[in-house]
Amino acid sequence: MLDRLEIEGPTSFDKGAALIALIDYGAGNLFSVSNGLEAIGAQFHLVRHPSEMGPDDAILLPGVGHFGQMMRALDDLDFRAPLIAAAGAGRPLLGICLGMQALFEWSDEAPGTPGLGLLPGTARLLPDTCRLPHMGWNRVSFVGASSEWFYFANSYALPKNDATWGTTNYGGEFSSAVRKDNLWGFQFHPEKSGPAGLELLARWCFDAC
Amino acid sequence: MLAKRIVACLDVAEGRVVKGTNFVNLRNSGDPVELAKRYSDEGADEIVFLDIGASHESRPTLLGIVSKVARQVFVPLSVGGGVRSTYDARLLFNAGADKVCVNSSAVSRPELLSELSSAFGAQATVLAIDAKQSADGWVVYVMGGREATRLNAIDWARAGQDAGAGEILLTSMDTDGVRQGFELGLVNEVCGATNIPVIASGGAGSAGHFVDLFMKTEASAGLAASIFHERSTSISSIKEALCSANIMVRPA
Repeated sequence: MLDRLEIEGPTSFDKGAALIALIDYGAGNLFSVSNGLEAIGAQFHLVRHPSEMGPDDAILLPGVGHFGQMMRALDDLDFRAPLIAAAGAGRPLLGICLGMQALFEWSDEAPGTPGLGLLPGTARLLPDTCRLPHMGWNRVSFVGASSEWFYFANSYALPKNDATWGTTNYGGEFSSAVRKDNLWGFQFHPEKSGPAGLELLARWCFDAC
Repeated sequence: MLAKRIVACLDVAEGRVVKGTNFVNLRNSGDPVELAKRYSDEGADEIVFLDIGASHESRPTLLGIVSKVARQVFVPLSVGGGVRSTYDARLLFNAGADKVCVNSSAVSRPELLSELSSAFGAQATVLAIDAKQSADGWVVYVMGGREATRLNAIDWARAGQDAGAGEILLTSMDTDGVRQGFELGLVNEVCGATNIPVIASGGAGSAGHFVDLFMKTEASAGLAASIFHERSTSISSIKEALCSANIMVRPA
């Protein structure tokens, strides 16, 4: 099991007093992530422009849809450089779903469109011998821990890499959770994965704030 | 390995959950917010919310109720009914939907599927198909089962996939609400014609019907409504039966 984390409401996250900057670049679906953060009592604010990010904010980058569109939207709003700088300065950064893929260099979904390049690697199309999108609940095997079920909705995924923290099997193994220094990424949707998902989200918040 | 999904469906009209047999004789089955919360807590893998009057009555989906439902559930929520444009879909996503289902409006304007898929991704674009058996094969019906079309359901499923749908919600009108089992022939034909997930709907009456569905077809998910509303079969008992049959499910 993951180290069980007691969720006690808002006061759990007061120690560092850091806020979570939830990046709203217009393309993502923020309702579910906001709802999940509210449920675990995390303190967050929506950030629609880099100037709205506080200097000590932890950063949550959600994402659904198309890799190319997401990166274009981030570029149009001038998020790219500030996100890279914040990550470089050691600020906690969590990418969810497409937001996790954006932490990496490239995706075959949009060849030639660079990701943030904070981690080395390229998202690849999952094997088309399986029904795609990979939609539904699958197991994530965490390094040094047993597995948990989480909800996925993806056609592309990162192969195993140096930052891999959890893996999932769908026609082969892929990297479903990454964790390296201040960077975390989940290919699945913790905010849509019942109690196990909220617990994992709370664990990041606790670590980050 | 990906788990087979048990999906709980809320057919909503005038703010209440209703359920009929073969799409008629609707009965009042409860409050959508309470039921959604119960199903999410009881281990449903997904909730589908269908505003069944929206297309027929040409009124916008009940965004307020969708939003209340979305706040209560921490599993995926698909919403359908009256989605005619990316604007309509955007309103639903903002209200908390994770996917939108389109049915009548995709039949009258198939480009809607590619528009939704480009704007929100295939994973958020669900093509709902209501099919009824006839001498000529499986006929697609629209407007909540009120109007037959000239479309064949198998061809339409394939065309919908090619246009950008990321999932098919396939309802057999012949078995809907009858509780004698899913229409396995229809499910097999649609699964054979597509390579996207298929949610089978219509006919679930017992845990054994879900075992049959997953043993005999490639369906990714099975959907039920009335057996959950009336507590005749629980989500956990279905999952136990599937587990005993060595079918992978997320424990309830």
